[in-house]
Amino acid sequence: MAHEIIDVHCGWGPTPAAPTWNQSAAVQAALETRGITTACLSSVLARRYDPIGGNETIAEVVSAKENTRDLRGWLVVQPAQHEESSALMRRFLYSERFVGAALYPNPATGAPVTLEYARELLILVRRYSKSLLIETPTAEAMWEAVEIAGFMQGVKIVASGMGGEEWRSAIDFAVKPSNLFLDISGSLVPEKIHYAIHAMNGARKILFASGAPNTDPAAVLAMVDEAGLSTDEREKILHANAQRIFGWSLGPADAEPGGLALKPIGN
Amino acid sequence: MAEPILDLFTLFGAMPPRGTDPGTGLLKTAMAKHGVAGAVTLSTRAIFHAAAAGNRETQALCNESGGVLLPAAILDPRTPLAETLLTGARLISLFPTTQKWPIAYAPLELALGALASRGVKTPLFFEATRPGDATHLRTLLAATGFTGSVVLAGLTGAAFAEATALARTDERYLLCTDSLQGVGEIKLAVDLVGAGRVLFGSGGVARGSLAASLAVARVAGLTEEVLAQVLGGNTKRLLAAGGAVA
Repeated sequence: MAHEIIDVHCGWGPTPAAPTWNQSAAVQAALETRGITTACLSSVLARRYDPIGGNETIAEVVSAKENTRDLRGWLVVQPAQHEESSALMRRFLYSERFVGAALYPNPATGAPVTLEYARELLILVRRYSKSLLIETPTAEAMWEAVEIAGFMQGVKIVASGMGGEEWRSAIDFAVKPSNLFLDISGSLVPEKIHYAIHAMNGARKILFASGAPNTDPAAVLAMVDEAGLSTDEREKILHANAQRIFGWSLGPADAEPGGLALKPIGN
Repeated sequence: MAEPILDLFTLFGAMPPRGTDPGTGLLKTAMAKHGVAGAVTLSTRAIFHAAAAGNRETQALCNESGGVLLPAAILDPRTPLAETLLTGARLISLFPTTQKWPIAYAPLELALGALASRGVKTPLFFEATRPGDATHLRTLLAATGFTGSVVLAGLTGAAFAEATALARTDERYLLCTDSLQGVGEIKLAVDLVGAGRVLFGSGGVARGSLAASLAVARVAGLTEEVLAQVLGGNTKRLLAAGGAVA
């Protein structure tokens, strides 16, 4: 297990520089080159424009039997599209291939997800006993994620992005909630990993994520190397914490085989 | 790799919220660890506090480095007679986004005109993060007669599109890799503007990560020859052609 690397937040969708980041073979080849064994994908299309089409694509990609990497999905949900999001959760969140639901800042304004805005949807998310990812590219977004973590007791929340350039404030905000976990994507600053370990009394709530393709996983891995972590801290961040949070106690390779494990309810 | 690795863009000194490590010790340690033979560097004091003091500090520490570090100097147009504070610099740095000044700015025009009239051809290092800035700079350079090369940095999203458009139409414009951290971005830059016009810069140790920047370059899918150009050959050529500010 020493070489297992779980990228807990990776995008799915082409960019001008990575035009094949919506082709499974190309994405898996890139992940393999960088040593990533498991990637949790979320659709960029679903985040910005079309939650139904984007999430359906992710469901297809993560359940393909020919995958060489262990691909999992985040189900992107939109508070402004409550009915559609509710239906998507019924279709997909019972599947073991989806690790949970994901909330992103408003694609038009960049405004962070707030508890008041997302409350009704969060009540629905709680029913599925899955993790919730909240993108936190600023300290303000992390503050809101902390509020949501307080509301979602018992649900494991992954705050992705560590507050970007505002990582110090963001980490300070995130210390208290026991159900809030931080991934190390965002600003490529090795010091922030040490700061988080110190502030959070250890590495057990810190996860590896790249945010690819916008950041190359190779860059984030190099940042981890540069941070000079102990073997224990490194293993926790690169895979052990994710396995614990997602309930993969035996590791993803030993978990259930590909394919949607349960039939959608209500369809 | 035949060419030594040269980092065109490094910063040392305090950079909130990263800490307050003074001097170039951390930079030199990181360079040694990652096999970087030389770097152009600038004190963050020059960016955040005082151009004159920061440029002097940069010069002094580079002079003590045994040739490993070459001095950049900041041209801060908010400072009176800013163009006189650049002596010895191998790179003239402009940080309009970080320092929050516009490109359509009479003091900048005056400074660039003064450099042009002195025959200075030392390359400019231009923070082109704000869309539109690089395009305005082109107009300004034409108006002032400054003929040195221009390295565009901080290139993400709209700024990347702007920089590559400029570089495709004018050979004096070059691209720095400091913000090209996404999958395929360095390769796309090379494909769009040519292998001879993309230069490795990390922003380390105060702003970026030397290790991360090198890692992205190495997985960019470039041939060994092109990678050697990007990581060192192009910078060597640029610095040799531009000379220091007299």
